[in-house]
Amino acid sequence: MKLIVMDMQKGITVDALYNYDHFIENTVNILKAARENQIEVIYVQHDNGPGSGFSQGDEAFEIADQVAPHPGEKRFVKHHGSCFGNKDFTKYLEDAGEDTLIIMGLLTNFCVNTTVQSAFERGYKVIIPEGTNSTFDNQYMTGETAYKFFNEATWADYFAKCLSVEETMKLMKKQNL
Amino acid sequence: MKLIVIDMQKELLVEELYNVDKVIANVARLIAAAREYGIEVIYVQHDAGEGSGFSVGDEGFEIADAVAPKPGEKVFVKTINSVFGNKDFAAYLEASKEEDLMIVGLQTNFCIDATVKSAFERGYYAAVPEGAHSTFDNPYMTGETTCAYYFHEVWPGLFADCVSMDDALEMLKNPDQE
Repeated sequence: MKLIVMDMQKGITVDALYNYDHFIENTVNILKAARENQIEVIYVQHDNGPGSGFSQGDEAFEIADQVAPHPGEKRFVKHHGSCFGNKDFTKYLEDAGEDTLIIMGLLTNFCVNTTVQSAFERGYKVIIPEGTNSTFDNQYMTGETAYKFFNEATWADYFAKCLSVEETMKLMKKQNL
Repeated sequence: MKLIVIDMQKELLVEELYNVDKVIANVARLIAAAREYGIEVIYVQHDAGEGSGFSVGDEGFEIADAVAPKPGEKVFVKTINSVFGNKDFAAYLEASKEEDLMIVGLQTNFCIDATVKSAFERGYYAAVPEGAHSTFDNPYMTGETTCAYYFHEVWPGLFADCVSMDDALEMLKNPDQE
């Protein structure tokens, strides 16, 4: 089991996100539980390219303070929607022989959805803890509807196990036994 | 360019599917054009497993008559959303050295989305023609809104070129002039 923390970068980790406070609280709790149970935490950051304002060297590119990596934790940079677009990330997971991924972060309807689908196609068991992904309003839906559409109507029971934070923590403890 | 026709199966092609008649007509037009211009048409069917009623041998599993494969056309069966979940399909495409795909069929928010993303991740160029994919209502959105959301908001600019039917037909006619 590994915990993938996606795109929780300063430029988009802002209170316009759906259910922002709950999202931060839950991601912080899952992160803490992972470290306590020696579950490796892997960070992925999105880079939109030089000059975009959301690229290496930009303040917005940095990981949000609340969920900042500890020294020694792995960080990968991706340039498109799926974490698996980064070959080093893909190979690192393959070499680890890991079969279960907890995925959390931003944005529900873009990078998280793409990564969940790709992980599923690659045969990983995916766990999505409740309230640990979020997104913004868009032209078609509010952030709330987008969150529910993906978590409850798209991923659940098929691409991923969508669990409460407590259930996820139990699984984290169990795998440490 | 290859035309990938996904899950155009009888079980799904029912009147609750958003714009069902138009989708069948559009996919049939694209298939006819592909055949006319020598573009390979590859079919994929979804198998939900024995006893599901949507599996090899079931009537609902069959590809609809209006868009049915011709003898000699490739048909792959998949058991997960993405067509690349079928290793034979993935290997067949790789061996063909084809880089451009046109993706049509069902359902917008499941197999089509998963396939578009997977094609992109694997380095393929993907074109999705308007009105040649569809889905059902869900608790959060109608089928119509879901189609529009993916076609206008999720895929363009990054994962796929979302094009009009006219542009799609032109691409099939002149596949090397994108």
